[in-house]
Amino acid sequence: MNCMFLLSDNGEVMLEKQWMGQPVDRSICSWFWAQNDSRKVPSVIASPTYYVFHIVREGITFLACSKTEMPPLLGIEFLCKVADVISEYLGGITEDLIKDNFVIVYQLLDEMMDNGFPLTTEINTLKDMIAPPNIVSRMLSVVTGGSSNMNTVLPIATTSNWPWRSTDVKYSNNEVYFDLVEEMDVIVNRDGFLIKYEVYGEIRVIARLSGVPELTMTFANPSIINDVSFHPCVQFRPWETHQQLTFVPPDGEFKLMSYRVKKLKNTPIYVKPQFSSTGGLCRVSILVGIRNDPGKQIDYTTLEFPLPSSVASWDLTANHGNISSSPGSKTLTWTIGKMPKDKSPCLSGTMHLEKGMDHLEEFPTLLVKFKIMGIAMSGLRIDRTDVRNVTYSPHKGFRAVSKAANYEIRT
Amino acid sequence: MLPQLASTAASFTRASSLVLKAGTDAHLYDDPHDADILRLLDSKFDAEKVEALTRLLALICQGSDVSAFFPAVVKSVASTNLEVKKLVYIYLVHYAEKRPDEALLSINTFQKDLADFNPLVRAWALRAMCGIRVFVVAQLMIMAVQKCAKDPSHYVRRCAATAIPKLYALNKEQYQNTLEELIGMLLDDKSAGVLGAAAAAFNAVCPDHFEILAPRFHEVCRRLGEVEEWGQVLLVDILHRYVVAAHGYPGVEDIGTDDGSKIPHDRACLLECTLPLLWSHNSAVVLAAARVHWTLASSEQLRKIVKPLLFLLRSSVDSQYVVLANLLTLAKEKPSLFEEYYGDFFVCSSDNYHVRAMKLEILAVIARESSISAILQELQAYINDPNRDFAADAVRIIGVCAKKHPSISFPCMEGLLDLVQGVQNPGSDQDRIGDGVILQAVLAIRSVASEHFSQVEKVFMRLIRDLDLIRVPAARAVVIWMIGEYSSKSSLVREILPTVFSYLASCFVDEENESKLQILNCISKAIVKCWNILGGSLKTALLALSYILDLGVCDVSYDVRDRARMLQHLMDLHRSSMIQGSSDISDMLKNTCLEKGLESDSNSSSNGNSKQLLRTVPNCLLAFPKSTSIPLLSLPARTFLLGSMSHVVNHCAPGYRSLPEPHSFTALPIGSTRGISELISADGTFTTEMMSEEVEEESEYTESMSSDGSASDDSYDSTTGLKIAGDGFTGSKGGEGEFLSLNESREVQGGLSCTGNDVSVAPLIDFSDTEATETFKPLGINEKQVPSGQSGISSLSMKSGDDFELWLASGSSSNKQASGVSRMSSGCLNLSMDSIKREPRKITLLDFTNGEGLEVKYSFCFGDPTCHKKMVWLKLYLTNRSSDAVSAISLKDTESELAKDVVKPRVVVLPSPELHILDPHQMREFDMYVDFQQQLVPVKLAINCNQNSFLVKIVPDVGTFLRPKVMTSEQFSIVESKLIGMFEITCRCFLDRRTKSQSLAELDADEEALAVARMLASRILSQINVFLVTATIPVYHEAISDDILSVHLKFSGETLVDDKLCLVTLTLELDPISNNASTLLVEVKVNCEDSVFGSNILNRFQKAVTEKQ
Repeated sequence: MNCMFLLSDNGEVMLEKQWMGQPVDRSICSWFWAQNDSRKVPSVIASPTYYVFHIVREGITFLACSKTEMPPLLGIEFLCKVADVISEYLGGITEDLIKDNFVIVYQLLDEMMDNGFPLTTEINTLKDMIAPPNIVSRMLSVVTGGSSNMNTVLPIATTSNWPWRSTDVKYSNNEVYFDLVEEMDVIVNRDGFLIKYEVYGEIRVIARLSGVPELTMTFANPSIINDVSFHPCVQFRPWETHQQLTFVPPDGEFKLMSYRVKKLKNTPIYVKPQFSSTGGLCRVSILVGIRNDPGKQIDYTTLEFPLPSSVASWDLTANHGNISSSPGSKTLTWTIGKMPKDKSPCLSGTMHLEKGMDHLEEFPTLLVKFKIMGIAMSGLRIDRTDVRNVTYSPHKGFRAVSKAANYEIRT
Repeated sequence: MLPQLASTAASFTRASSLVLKAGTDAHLYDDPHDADILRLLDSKFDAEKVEALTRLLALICQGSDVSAFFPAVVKSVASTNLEVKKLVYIYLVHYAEKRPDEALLSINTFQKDLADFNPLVRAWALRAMCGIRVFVVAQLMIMAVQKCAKDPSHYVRRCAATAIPKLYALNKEQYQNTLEELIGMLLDDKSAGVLGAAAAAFNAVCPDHFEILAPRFHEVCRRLGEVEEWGQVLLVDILHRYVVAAHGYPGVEDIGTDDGSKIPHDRACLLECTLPLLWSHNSAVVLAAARVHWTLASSEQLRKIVKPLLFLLRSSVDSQYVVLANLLTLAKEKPSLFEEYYGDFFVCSSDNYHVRAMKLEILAVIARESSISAILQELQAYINDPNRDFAADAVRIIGVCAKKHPSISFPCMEGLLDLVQGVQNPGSDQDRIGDGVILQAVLAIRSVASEHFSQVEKVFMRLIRDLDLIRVPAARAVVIWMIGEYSSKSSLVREILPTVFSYLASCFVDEENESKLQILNCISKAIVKCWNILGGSLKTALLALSYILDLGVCDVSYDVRDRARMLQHLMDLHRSSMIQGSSDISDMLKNTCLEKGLESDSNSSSNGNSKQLLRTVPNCLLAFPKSTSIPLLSLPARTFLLGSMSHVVNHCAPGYRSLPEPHSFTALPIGSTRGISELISADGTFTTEMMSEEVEEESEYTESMSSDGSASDDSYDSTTGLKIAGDGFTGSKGGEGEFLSLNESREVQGGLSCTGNDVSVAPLIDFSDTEATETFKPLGINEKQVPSGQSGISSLSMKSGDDFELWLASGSSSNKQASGVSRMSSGCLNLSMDSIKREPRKITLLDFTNGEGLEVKYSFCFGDPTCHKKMVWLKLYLTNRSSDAVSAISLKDTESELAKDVVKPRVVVLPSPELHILDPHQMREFDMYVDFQQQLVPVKLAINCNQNSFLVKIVPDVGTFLRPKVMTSEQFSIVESKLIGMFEITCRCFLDRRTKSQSLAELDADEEALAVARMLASRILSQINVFLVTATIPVYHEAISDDILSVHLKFSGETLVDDKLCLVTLTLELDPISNNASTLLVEVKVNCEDSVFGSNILNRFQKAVTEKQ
């Protein structure tokens, strides 16, 4: 990989980092931006001179160039890693944050890749080498006038069998937290049938454990899991033989596992849209309600759909929540918030079509978003976790949250 | 408790961020020039230095050139403050290449830092030192890397491994052995992080030197899991290559090697160790591991890769596009693997267009009877999508599915018809449904009709009835074409013909050109085809025809006028002959041969032979595009290695390597076992995705499937090529007249013919001397004419190449005498290379053992073909090696039959081989023209003979995608000066001095220059279809022996497809001082209007130059 650019959401080059001898001219960015006009460029394309990778995170485009053959996924995954690391360091990715901390970002890029090959990408190791900006260091810098974010010693040599963990970690309070974060992907067709309902989940772990603990984790119902992928620390054999996770955790935060549960049946909510149009007028009625009560509050519910291009104006009201539309993107958003248990929220009203239009031709797809705290919608349950190889018994915590990701209702 | 803490911390950050804004670097980024950077750099205080360096960094980030501060920054390199040091290092590495001299000043500090007690400092110093890429300190760098490779800190060792490719890039040849040793050592390193970086170094320095890897194979496999993800990707790739090179693919050859338990063991070991990687978080690792299983695993084991690959679509959304491109290739090869997972390829609203197109195509490929109804339902939902291009694609895929699965074709047709009629949205405008959708719907109906017409007959009738509703011109044209096509097949259609004809006649004036042409065709065709069965409606038809012909000849569009006039004449003749009843149309239809051209027949019509002419009527009417199948979406077939960049972009990326030739590596002394397996594989009996090519006796060579891969083991016995270097100069007969420059003398056509066994007699030398006091004039060169005073030329007797070399030897000495006072600067000799023979290699297409006695070979032809200028010219040699005659030979392009609307065939063979019968042991040559469309995708052919059909592939060569472009050297330099910047690419490669015939190093510089120039020219010309513009070698003088003399070879060509110019210059520097080096540096420069093609041709040149003899 020759170089990398960070572009703001209007195509301005905020930062460039060259890794190879011959610098890449930044005119490649304007070339890319011209291609990217409609934001439809695939993640890998061949420019006349380079192969260009890009990913977009919160409006910021991470762009990298390569002159020669290389595995394209290596490039994309590296960009994802860079985005994750920067986001973790700065607490988000925005134009201002990056410009404010450009020295750190530049040093990170310098450390993460050398001569076109990734060098140090493990976030915890990086944090030991380049300190993230935090309140204390900023306070100090304001007071003393100097600013140093460089650690002067190399992180302890990880000569252990676990490259992701050093051997002499010490905490006074030993604790480990498990978060199940699940995302629901649902497609309901126009006849109201469920085409797809599956859950993609991740188990995130925050481990603050002394020594070299070995953790095992078993599920009550591992058979429901369809696909898995693991952090490299997870051992292969125990999972293959009895679906048991055995691992020596990295220190700090990490994603232990991601999984998918397919062919689920009962969605927590139902959405019944109706669009009927005659004579230049379109009647809209959308009913939302709880179908299978998950037992927890369904919160942050929103429903949005793109207004069909033929709609000139609309007059819609809801008996719960409020409706807003962004004029630029022509998207209508109905914010419901907490889902009421006693009544079904309903949005109704009419949309006026443009002159000369009798009927609505394109029917919008509704996107539903909500969040349920404290429950894993896939039904996956952690049976038990054991910590071995250490003398203390750590504090263990479990949480679960389910979100709607690609939850779409076709009309 | 933790979350609360985090949230309070977050809110605190927010609250304090305003206050602390002053502590950030924002002001430095916004106004880096705010302060006097130079003054700050000179400051005693580290804090001020840091500020200055930060400002410089901000400027670098913003793309400004701040190399002017280089001297000031270098001064700070010795600072003990680590922060200053780090920033200085970053700056130095960024600009060192621009200011190499000043960068040298910092070397001492680096050396000192390399001995620092802090491993971080040692690593920084190493990275900076190797990062500055200054040639003169390469030796120091090597020592530093060697030292750091043994460092106690694994981080430093890792940096040492990363530095190896930098050194290699600096000087490829000199350190090869040292670096390979280092790589071997680092591959043994006990830290997994070092192993990953060593893999990257291995890939960069010596990707084919498996002997380094062989002893460590099992150890590396075992530790694969510990290596960090990036290293895993490369290691898996290297191990994969190794296993293929050492043991080949599983399959036939395993059977004979039951006793050689070692071979399956290595393969099984790799498969087992890559299995856990399929569960990696990193999509690149999963894909790399899946590729290993794809090529090496048995079909039962192969299922294991399916789920992990499909999971990538959800778990790493950014990789989706690349993963889908790979899945598409897999699905095409083995649709059964993915059959049951069709639900994973359903489109969701957040997918972008490219992803959707890919998913649609996969759905079409994997659809089976069991899943088709669900897939169809889903496709129908896509028709309502706001993105109309996508909706049109969905309609097209419905057509593909309907054709493939007859069970659903009827409901599909109904649905498509509804779509065309706009029934789904009554009263709606067709403009809203979208032109593309309508057109695709009609095309889909046409394609299904071509296969199962009886099923769709009724649908088609309704379509005709609603013709008036269809407003999209292209779609109307297709429907009208179908009326003409099916008028003879369907009695239902015939019944309504009169009505249709009068309708068409009435609306003719308002139609678009496209539809007008089709109306003309349609009515004529119906009349010709159904003359006898049309009955009463014939009159209406003739009336309609004469009406529209009258309108047509006065049309504004000349296409329509031409068509109308032609048809008018033909139909007149046809009608008169029909009325005479002199011939039977149906017989004639059977007899007509579509191959016969119109022109030759119309010539004969001037003799008044109306019967002859009549044959042409159906000909010209039927000759309109007949192919009615729909391709899948316009996504091209991909033949490159899975998971590679070339696979995604579908052209050969620079540095692309295909898998090595199976069994090309032998390190393990297995003895007899290997012998057997080799024999079997050489027989071409194993059929993996690699093309099986047999080793041929006459011209031995092996070629990997992608001809562009830098398969360095390409060895072919080019006795032909070397012959040229040996006695190629059977030069011009001296005194035969004036001395022509080769450009004028060269005949464009024929002169370059590859078969040219006759050595063309052409002038040999062209002198161009720039500053010489003694001017060599390009006069007639004849011993007798040479004035005795010009000693330089006096010995010019050029009867043969040997004489010429003699002259060069004596010439240089005599020049030395002559130019005792006035120094002559380097003169140049222009060599004529006309005498160079281009001997193409013959490549076996079909071996006679497989082809039941028929042997088919082909070779690429060089020169400019007389016809089919846009296609690649090949010679095809058919030999009958059996004792029986072979007849009915034909070649067919298997793919273009499937493609839509083939106006031009992709493969043309002249003269048509069908007409010939090959007697036993007879050989025939044919000219073949293939249109590769400038893609390195093999063309699949079916060779039919004696009722057998053999599938073969012709592999393209980039070198043949050009045609020679004749130009003078002046023109060359004018064009070259325009094609700079992005259009210019260069690379360097090394030429082995020791050739087969003689060691070049033994010759003196002049002879060497000549021999090298000849050898290079012959190598290039016999592999790449270009024109040699000039070849100049220097005349060597001792007086200027400290100069580096260079040989220049200039070639020109233009691309076949779009006539883009492509100029190539080879520069070879003969440094008389370093005469003892074993290799010569050749610089290849390509100036090409098409820069992607340019980089491909650059690789090809590089390969042609460095090719081992």
